[in-house]
Amino acid sequence: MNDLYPQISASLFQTLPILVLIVAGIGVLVADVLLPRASRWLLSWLSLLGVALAFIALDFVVGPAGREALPLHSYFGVLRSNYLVFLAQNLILAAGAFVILISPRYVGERRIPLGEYYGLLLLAVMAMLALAASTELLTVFLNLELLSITLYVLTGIENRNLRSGEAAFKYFLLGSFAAAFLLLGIAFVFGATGETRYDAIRQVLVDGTAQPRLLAIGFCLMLVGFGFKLSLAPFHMYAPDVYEGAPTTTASLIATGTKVAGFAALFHLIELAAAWSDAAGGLWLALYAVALASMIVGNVGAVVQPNIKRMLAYSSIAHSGYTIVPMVVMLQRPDLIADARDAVAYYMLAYTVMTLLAFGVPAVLGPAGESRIAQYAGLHRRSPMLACVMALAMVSLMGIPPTIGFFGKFQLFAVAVQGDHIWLAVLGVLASVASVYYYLRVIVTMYMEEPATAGEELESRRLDGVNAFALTACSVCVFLFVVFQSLYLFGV
Amino acid sequence: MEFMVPGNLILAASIFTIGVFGILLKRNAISIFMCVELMFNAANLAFITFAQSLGRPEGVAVFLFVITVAAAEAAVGLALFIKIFNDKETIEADTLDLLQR
Repeated sequence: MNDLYPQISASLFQTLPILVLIVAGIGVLVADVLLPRASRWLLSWLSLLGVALAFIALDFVVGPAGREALPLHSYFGVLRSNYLVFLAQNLILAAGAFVILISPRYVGERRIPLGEYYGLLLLAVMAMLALAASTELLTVFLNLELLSITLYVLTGIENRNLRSGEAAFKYFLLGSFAAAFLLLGIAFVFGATGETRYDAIRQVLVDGTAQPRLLAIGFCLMLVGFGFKLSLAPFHMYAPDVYEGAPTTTASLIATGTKVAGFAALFHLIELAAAWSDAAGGLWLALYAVALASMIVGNVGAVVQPNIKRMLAYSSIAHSGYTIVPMVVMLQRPDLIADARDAVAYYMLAYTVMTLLAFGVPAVLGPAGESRIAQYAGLHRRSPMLACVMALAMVSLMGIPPTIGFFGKFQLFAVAVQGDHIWLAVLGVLASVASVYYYLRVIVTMYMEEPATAGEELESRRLDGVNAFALTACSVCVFLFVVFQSLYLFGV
Repeated sequence: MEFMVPGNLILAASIFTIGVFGILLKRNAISIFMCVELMFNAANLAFITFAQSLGRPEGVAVFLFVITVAAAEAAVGLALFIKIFNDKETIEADTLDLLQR
């Protein structure tokens, strides 16, 4: 028994960021009860402090120790850390901090209960951190469910708004439906291999002693569960409704943090499946179809949406489709796993930055700016900075150089070309060309159209300091990483 | 390794299918949620069957975790249904059509 202690204490140390967030989340819930009503505004700063401490724990306490011995395993191989996970966790924390920074005014206007909102937000971020690192079947399921349950509440938290309740209702029923598929898939993978830890499953797959049929069914069912969380095409039906009905701050967390965590977890699963020689057949075809369908459905669906949040929902479906392109390639070409990991990691970074910007503007504009795109007419005169930020997000989402969106997409499709999936790359590029239409429509509306009637005008809003800081930081990131990368490429 | 499909697995698959069809056909939120629970339990049954036939105890542990998760989900779900019922006096899924307009 004694020899377990070093491993357990090492595991506790390696999961320090997660533990910090658990303490912070519960601390906020307790503080909500203890604080007098007048000083509840402290809660947002308290939760920001929690995220900041988790960030310090991740990058400066665990980080240096972790970097020496990658990949790290903690809790007997249940959680793993490698640089994809490390990057994903940093992005999730950044998304959490961004959402907390843009929340105070939004939450105040909507009369959302503060304690529950911030407490659940921290717990959702914690579940995302854990999900990104999960390399065990049951752990994946538990983290995915913890994430989902907190997000159901955060979606329906707006008491006076019927749309919020309806969105939560749809999210809840379809989400638990998909979770059941994931669970059955896990059962089949367990049944086929007799193991639940990824490293043990990999050994069974390499030995070739797994049950091929059970395994194929299991992986496909798990793909359904993940496809739902990542809003990939045949399973995307809920996404536009949820993004539209949920508070915009919650929607931005669903669109970024959940997806980043889901991509990291899906990448580990696909990496595992790539060790299985039969995966290049049926599973490859299934993933290929999902990637293609997401790119097409997302981009075609976004064109006809009059609502800004629904448009962004379809756009995020399309971006999920782009992101799994390297994973498709990986199944047939296991030799390209390292390149695929680089491409997915870079795109996660690009996607998070630009999607946070695109959701940040409607959240800052508040009720007047989160429904129809037509409301953005003439925004550049009333709020030049917000219009500029939104335009920047749209240009980056289109994938136009020199923004980060271009370099992200370039790497994804470069992996596809390298791995003999030329058609997938061609279709992906065509899909993103089609996307220019609806992103450009937002820019045209903001800069070249005038509001049709006086009622259509957006009230001009002064940015408060924290909002401005969050948006500026993200805007700088759209270019900053590109500069870093160029310096790196040219060996400066 | 020869693998026999045990009767339990067929039972689990049938229950799961009943759950899926129930969700597709039912319109009442409580009925839909009961079908989801049916699917969860079918997956549990599959887990225990595999654990039994492979001689691995992990499957039973999974079952305990899943029951806990399902209970947490039911708590959130029922609260949500009550909220919807207070607003609309019904929890038929078809009556929720505010979004997408």
